[in-house]
Amino acid sequence: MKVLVIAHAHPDFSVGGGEIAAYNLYTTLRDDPDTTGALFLARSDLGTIGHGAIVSRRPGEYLWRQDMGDWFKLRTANALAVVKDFRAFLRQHRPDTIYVHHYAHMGLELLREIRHTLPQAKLVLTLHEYTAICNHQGQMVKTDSTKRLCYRASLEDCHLCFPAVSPESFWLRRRYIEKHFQVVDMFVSPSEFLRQRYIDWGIPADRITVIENGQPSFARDIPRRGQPGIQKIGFFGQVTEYKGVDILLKGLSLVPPDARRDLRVEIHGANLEQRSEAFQVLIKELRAPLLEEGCLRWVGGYERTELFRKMSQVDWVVIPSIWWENSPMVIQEALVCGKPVLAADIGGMAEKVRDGVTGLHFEARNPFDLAEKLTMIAQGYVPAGVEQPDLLKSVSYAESARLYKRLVASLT
Amino acid sequence: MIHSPSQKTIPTFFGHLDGGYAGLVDYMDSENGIFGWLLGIASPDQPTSWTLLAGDVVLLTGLADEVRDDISLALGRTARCTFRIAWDRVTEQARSAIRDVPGTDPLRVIVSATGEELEWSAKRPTVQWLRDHVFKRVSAKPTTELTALPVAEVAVVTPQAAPPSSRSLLVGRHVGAVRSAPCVLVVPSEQGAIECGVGIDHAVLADGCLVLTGWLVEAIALEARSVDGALLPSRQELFERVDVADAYSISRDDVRGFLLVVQCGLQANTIKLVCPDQQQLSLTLQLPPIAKSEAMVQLVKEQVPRLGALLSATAHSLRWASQIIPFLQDPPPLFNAARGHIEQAKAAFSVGGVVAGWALSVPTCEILVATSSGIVRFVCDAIRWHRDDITQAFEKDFGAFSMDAGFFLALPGKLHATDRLQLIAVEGNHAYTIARGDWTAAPQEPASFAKWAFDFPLPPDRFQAGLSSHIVPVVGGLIEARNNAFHRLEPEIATFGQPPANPLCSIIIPLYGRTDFLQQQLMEFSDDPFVRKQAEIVFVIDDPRIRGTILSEAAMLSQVYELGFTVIDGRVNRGYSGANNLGAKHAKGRTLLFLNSDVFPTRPGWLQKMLKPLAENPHLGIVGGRLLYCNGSIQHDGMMFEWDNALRGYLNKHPGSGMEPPPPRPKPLERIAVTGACMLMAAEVFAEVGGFDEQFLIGDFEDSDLCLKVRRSGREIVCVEDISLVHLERQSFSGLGSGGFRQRVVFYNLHRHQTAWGPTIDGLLQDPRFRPAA
Repeated sequence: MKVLVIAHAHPDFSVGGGEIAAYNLYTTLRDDPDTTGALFLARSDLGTIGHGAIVSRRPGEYLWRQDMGDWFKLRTANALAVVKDFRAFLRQHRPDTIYVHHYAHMGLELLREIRHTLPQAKLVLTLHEYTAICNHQGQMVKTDSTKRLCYRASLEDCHLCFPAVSPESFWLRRRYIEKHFQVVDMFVSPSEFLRQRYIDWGIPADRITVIENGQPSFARDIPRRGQPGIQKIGFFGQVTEYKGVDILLKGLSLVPPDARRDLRVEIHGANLEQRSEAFQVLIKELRAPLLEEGCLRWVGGYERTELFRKMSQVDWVVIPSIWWENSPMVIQEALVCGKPVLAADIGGMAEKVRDGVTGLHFEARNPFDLAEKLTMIAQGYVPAGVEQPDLLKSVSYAESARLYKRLVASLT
Repeated sequence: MIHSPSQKTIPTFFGHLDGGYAGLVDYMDSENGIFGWLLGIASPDQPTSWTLLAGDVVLLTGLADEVRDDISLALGRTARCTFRIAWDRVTEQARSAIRDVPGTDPLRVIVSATGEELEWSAKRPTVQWLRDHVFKRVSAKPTTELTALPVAEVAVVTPQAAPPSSRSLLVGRHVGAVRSAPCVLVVPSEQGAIECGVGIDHAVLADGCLVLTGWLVEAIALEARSVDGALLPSRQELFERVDVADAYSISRDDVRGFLLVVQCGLQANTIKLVCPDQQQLSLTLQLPPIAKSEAMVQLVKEQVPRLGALLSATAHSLRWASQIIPFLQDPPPLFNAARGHIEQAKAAFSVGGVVAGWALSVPTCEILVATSSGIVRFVCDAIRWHRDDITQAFEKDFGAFSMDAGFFLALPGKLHATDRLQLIAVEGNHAYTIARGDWTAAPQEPASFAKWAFDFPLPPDRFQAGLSSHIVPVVGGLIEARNNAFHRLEPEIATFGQPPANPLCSIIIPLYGRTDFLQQQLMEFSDDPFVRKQAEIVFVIDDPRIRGTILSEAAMLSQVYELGFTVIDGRVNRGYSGANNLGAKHAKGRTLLFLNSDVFPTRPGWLQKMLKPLAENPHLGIVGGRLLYCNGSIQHDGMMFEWDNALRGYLNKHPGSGMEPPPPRPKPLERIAVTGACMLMAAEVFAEVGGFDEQFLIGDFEDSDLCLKVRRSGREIVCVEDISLVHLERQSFSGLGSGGFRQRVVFYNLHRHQTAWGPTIDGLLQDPRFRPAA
């Protein structure tokens, strides 16, 4: 088996969940005895690489300078590089199995090119969000100020979110994506929720399966420091309008004061200053009394290498997002650390956190319900899974790679 | 009077060789005037208008309209091109105007339509020469000016001692003989006096319009009939002729002068004149030769008291009107029968102009719009509409007649840059200029002209009723002129990749506005092996704005999809018909598929399925296809005609549009017509019926028009249902909207379509095959 893994970024330059998962799939398959050859091709925007060129990063690993020309239709900026440089690369290496993680930043065209140049190769595409379904940055949240959740894309509904774009243009977008998806043998989704959304959108159910992204193994022996009796709840991630930090702060202020004395919420999140001014004002107004009271700590950003250490210092991880999420990395990381998760009860969060077992659900976007659940935690609530290590665990890199291998073997 | 062209001088050419002018001033003298020739190179048999200028002052305008043998011989076709500029036609006003022009300024002869100047073979005379040799001499002659003598004064003219001109012919009467003017026919009484009689002093013929003057004794009317006895349209005015009464010693009450204007047409040689109240007074009149201007001017001068009658009876005649108009005067201070104003006048000089303003008059007073070159139309024939502002201002004086004051009137025909406009009130025998105006240049582009013209608040019903008289002549003329220019433009053709050498079918796709459709169509085509092998894909750029993008995308996309195709850059926006006709002209396929750029096949095999019935059935003219909206509902499944009460014409309808598609039938179904968004036919048939009609404004109805032409040739039309194509037409645009420009365009195009096909559609709708399901 000669394997090519394509990702929208190289972990040397970017540490998003998708590229890390792709790179780990590559290294695991590379070291697999059944593999006769393995290649990793990552899109890059390094200015030192000529537009469209493919250059070697280290043995087996390549960087491809590509950019998006049209985010609406997910078209590449450089279609000729696909039929020239990328085609030459494929012809030279002739992989028989190709795993593509994501198409953002590269464009969909590489899919048809793979099928054109290597008609016999097995082609697997891993989807990381709802971009193909939703033009609103793949969020499936309405564009109006209420940010209502969107349950299903349609030409008319999408036009209502983007009045300047006609339903006909949304048809063209969909058709363009569809034409490129047609050549994919199998789609992989990290969550059943995302899989169902793509089935509703039009991918046949038998052509899309769920494989969770692999996680590193982690020794859970860092001692938890701090005041006993105080429940520490950590938020890890970006502070954006969709991540629900405002809901979290509202919920915290609605917790009865005597219960709040036993809670400490820590915000490990960055980039508030990049958000809209109204959002910044809202957060600052909400957090000021809580910071003064001492039940809130605004820690700020962190390096990725610090994550597990920081996470091991909290009792709970909270994910209050107001959008669906897919398979949030932070949930997988909490599982690696053995921490229960307080999660909004929608989408990928509801799927990945088992209510009462690996964490606790609260009604998404509802600070009153969140306050109730925070009060339960303050009063010492512990979900069943915390005492059972085999429940609080995630899929390893090797396990994930094995599932991919098995999937490809099943393709005729 | 014909003079040989100068041996020395080469004629002047203007503009380009297939559309400009040529001419030369050959000869001039102080006695006879200036002579020369001037012709339109494209149409030397049509008279061309010249203008004489002293410096920059216009002296005279006229037509070079006499056949000239030497030029005709040189061209190999009749050249109506000789002109003579006679001094006696220069108006008093023009003479006084050149008093301020420097004497050293040269005289100039220009082409009226373009302002280009003719060369002279002789030494060019100056204004001073004109003053010294011409005007002095003319003014020294006894005056023949009779301009605008008040009517009352005619009645007190002293009887002439000498008999009138026809007196001498009294003796030579032969009842029943063919006579020519002047002539007299009298019936003597037993006492030897005159019992009754008719005298014809002048008969002047121009543009098929005969003007007779003379007198009647004991008779009050003169009827004109053709040789076969049919009454000819005519207008008669009676007045006193004391000179005749006195000369023949008849009671003044028994003699009447008459002015009779007869529309005898261009073919007649003789007419019959009959007094209905004195049957014995009848004669056959030999029509005079077509009059020279001098004779016409002479008659007009004599009829100054009756210019109103003369003008309204000869209004349709360019030559008569142009002779009469210079004699019109401003109304006297107490004239209160009409008011009016020219607010806008736009002319496309080659095809005509439109005048808009307001006019109101009390009954019997008519208002005319006229150009100085003699184009006259009655305001009552204009499109009229109500204007509150005018009613408020004039209701006190005009009461109910202040309604509907707005007018919108077309003056079709070749206009001259030097033409002035006037609004003329005609009340009985009087005619006055009540307002003046000047042309401004109209947009030459038909749609731009239409945007201006359609912006007037004309009520829809009146707009429709006035379409053929006031819109079509100008807009249609502009469309035709534009198309002629477009046909001369050579397109640029670029081929990308390697299209099939002997294609079965050429797919012709005009591109307008959007550039993103190109890639998605090519992507769909590239996945269809039949299209790749058998079809020549021809894109026609119909929008110069997108040319650069399309050409660079085309180069890239032909590599990406490994597909050969042709791009024709039409260089201008020709619209649906023009672009498709251009594509067809350069297509190599035996069959032509006209496809909109926003139609996308979503399954391969569609073209084969459409070609099959055409190959199998020789009686088939056109094959259309089922098209779906992007939401999956029917966009087109065959076309139908539906009568619209408001528009008073048939509209193209898509039955079942917006509905869920019924299960497709494998056999193609016969249809009355199909949409041009996807239409297949043999190239031969397309050529035979003349392709798409390019005379529609912006675009509409071209497809049904083509379908009906194909039907007329005896062929049938079918629609294929079991194919899958999406047409991204906006459902919301299928309605007409609430009005505005777009609605007027529909009116315009529907009028054209209805005029051509109304009865045919009536018949087709009776055919049980096409009767809509109950």
